[in-house]
Amino acid sequence: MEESWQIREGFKVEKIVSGLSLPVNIAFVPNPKSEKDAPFFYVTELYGSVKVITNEFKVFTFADNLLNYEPDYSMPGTGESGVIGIAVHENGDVFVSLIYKEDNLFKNKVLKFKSKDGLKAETAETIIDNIPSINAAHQIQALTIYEDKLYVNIGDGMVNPEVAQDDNDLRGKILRMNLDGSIPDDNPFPNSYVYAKGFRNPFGATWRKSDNHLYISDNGPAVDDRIAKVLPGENYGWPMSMRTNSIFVWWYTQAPTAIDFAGLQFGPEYEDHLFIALFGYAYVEGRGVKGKKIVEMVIDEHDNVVYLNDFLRYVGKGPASVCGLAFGPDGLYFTDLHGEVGFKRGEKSGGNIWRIARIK
Amino acid sequence: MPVIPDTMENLKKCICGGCPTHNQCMKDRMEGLFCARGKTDCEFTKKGCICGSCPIASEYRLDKSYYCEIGAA
Repeated sequence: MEESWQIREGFKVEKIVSGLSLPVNIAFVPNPKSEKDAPFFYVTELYGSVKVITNEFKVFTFADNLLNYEPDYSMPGTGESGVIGIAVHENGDVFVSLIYKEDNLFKNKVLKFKSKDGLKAETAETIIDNIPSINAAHQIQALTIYEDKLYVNIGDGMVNPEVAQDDNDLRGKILRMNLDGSIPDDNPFPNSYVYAKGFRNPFGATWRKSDNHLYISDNGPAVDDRIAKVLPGENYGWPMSMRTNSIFVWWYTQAPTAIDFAGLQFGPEYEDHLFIALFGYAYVEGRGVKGKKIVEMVIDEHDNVVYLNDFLRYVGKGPASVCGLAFGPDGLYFTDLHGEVGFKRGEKSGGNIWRIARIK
Repeated sequence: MPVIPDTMENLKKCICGGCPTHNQCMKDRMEGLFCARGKTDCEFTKKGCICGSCPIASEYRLDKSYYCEIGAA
C-alpha cells in the first residue's frame, strides 16, 4: 500500500500513471479493444489537454492546447477553471467540456473529438458554446452519455446565482442534447436543452444502472454540499436552497467532485454503492480538515441514504486530494489533481492516477 | 458575528488574491483579508466570490459573501 493513502482493510491502492499535469476527470472506453496499445481510458488535464491511457498504461496526448487564454494557479479562485468534463461514446467519440475566452468574457462549450485509433484526436467539433461562464469554479462540469444523449452539468457562473432559476439561461442546469448538439424532441421542455434546473456547482455525475437515473454532486456555498438524483423537469432549488430534492446534504462542506456507482469490481456486496470523491479545500498540503478522501454511500430504493463511511483518505504531506474517479473493469480509478508535488515555486503539478482493487 | 483577528496567521490562510473579483487596484494596494480589515477602497465589479471556500470562513463560521464590499465580519 502506498503510504500517501489510507485505504479500508481488504483493499489496495496503487499508482498506475504519473507525470500528469492537474488530472481532473476520468472516462473509460465503454467497450475497450483487447490490443495492448488500444485506448483504455481518457483523462482531462485542467490547463488544456486530454490524455489517453492504453491497456498497458502507456500515456499519449489525445488533444492539447485547448485553452485560448493563459491559465493561472490561483486555487481557490481563478486557477480552478479549464478543461474538466469528459465522456466517451461507444463509437469512440470523446466529448470534453471546457471554458474559453471571447471578447474578454469567459464562456462554456463542449467539444466532440473524433479519432481513428483513439490515441490522437483528428477532428474537433464544437457542439454547443457561447454559454456564459467564469474563470473560477462554477463553470461547465461533468459530461455523461446515456442512451445516445449527452448530459451536461453546468454551474451557475458564480456572479448571478439567480440564473439557475431562469429557464432561458443555461447556467445552473443539467442539459440534455443529441450527440450533434441539437435539442432532442423529447426533452422535458419544448425546444430547450434544460433537463433540470436549480444547481450551483454540480461537479460530478453518473448513471445508476439499478434505477436508470442520473445522480450528481453539487457544491454549496459556506454550507450544504449535496448528492441528488436528477429527474427530468425538476427544480433543485438553488439559489433559494441547496437542500431541495437532495437525497443527502453535508452541512459542513466537503467539496464533492466526481461520483460513480460500483459494479462487481469489489464483489457483489459493494454493487450499486456510490463512491464519492470529496476534494476539500482547493489547495491544502497535508491531511487537511476537509475532504481529501473517498466515501462509500449506500442509497436504498426509496432514495434514503442508509450507509456512509470513509473508504480512502489522504495521509501524506503534499497537496494531493481526490478529484476524478470512475470504476474501470478491475477497480476504482482516481486522480489526485496536484499530486504530491503541487505547483509551488513554479513547479508543474505532478498529478497521478491511482487504482483501488480488492485483495480479499 | 465573530470578529476576525487581523493576524499573520489569518493572512496566510486568506484566499482573496485568487478571487476573480480581486482586481489590479486591490493587488496594487495589497488589499485582502477583508473579513478582518474591512471593505476595499478600490472600485470594482463583482465577478464572483470565493469567500465560501476560504478556511477562515469555515473556522469562524462566516456565512456571507463579498466581504470586500460589506466590510469586516
